Amino acid sequence: MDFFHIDDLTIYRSVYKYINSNMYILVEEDRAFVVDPHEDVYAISLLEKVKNVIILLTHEHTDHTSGIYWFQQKFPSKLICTKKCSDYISLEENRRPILISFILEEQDRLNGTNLLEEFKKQYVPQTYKADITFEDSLIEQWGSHKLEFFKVLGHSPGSCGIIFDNKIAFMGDSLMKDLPIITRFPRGNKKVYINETLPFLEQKLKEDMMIMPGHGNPFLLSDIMKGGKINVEFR
Amino acid sequence: MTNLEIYTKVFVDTFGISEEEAKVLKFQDIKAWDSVGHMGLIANLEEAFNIMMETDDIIDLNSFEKGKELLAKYDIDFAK
Repeated sequence: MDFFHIDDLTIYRSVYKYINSNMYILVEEDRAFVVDPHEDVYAISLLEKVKNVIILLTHEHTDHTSGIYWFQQKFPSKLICTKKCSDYISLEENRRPILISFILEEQDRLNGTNLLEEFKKQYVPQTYKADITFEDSLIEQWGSHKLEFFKVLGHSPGSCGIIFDNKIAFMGDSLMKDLPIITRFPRGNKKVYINETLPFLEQKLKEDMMIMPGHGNPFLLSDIMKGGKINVEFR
Repeated sequence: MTNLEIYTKVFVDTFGISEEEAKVLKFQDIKAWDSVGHMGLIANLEEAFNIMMETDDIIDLNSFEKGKELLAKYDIDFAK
C-alpha cells in the first residue's frame, strides 16, 4: 500500500496484485471511505479506529468490486454506486470473476505461476445491493467534505466519477493515463465515450484536479490535456 | 437456424469475420479475440443459447471447436 498527500489529505492506495486495479482509502477521525475495494490486510490496521465505512464503486467490473464482501464482514459499511452498477452486481451471473480468471489463467500459462488457484481461494462470489444509488448524479456530505458523483458512460453502463471537495476525482477505468480506455467490453460504447463523455469531462473536471484512476498512477488532468481536449488511447 | 448456425453466427458477429474464418478460429488468431473480446464472445454465446457458463469453461474456451465441445455440457446439441 502506498499513499499520496494532496493538500492536508492522505489518500492510501492498494494495488490489487492479481490485476493491478487500484483501491483508494481515505480515513478521517472515526470514518473512512473506500473506493473500489479489494482484500488487503493492511487496510485492517488503517481502519482500526473507524466506526463507519462507506464503500464507493466507480463501476461494476469484478476487479473493482471483489473486496466488498471482505470489507462488509469487517466493518459497518454502506455501499454507494450508480443504479446500473447496483443492478449489475445484484445478479447471480455477475458474481463470476470471468475477466480476472481468464487473465490469470493466461499469466499462469505464460509464467508458470499459480495465481488463478490462489485467487479462487480468496474470492468470495456474492451478489450485492447498494444502500444508496443514483441515475445521473448525487451529492453526499462526508463530514465537512463534499462527494459529488456523476455517471460516466462508455467503459460500462454503471460507471461514474467521484469528485472529492472539487479537487480530487476518482475516475475508475473511465479516465487513465498511459493506459487505454477499454470500450470494447460487453455494454461498453466507444462512440458514446468520444461524443458524450469526453466533452462532458472536459467541462466537468478542472485541469489542476488530481485524477485517481482505476489502474495506473494518479495524475493531474492537465497531464492528459492537449489544446483544451482530453487525450486518451483506446483499446 | 440450427444450433451450429447460431453458434457460428455468434463468432461472425462478435469478431466481424466470415463463417469460414470462424470455423477454424483460435484464441488470439485475430486482434479482436483477445481477453476483452473473449468477454464479448461469452456474453453473446450465453445470450444466444440462454445459458450461464461456469468460469472454468469460459477459461477453457480457446477455439471454435473447443467451444462446441464445452457447450455440449449445457445441453446444446450441435446435431440439431
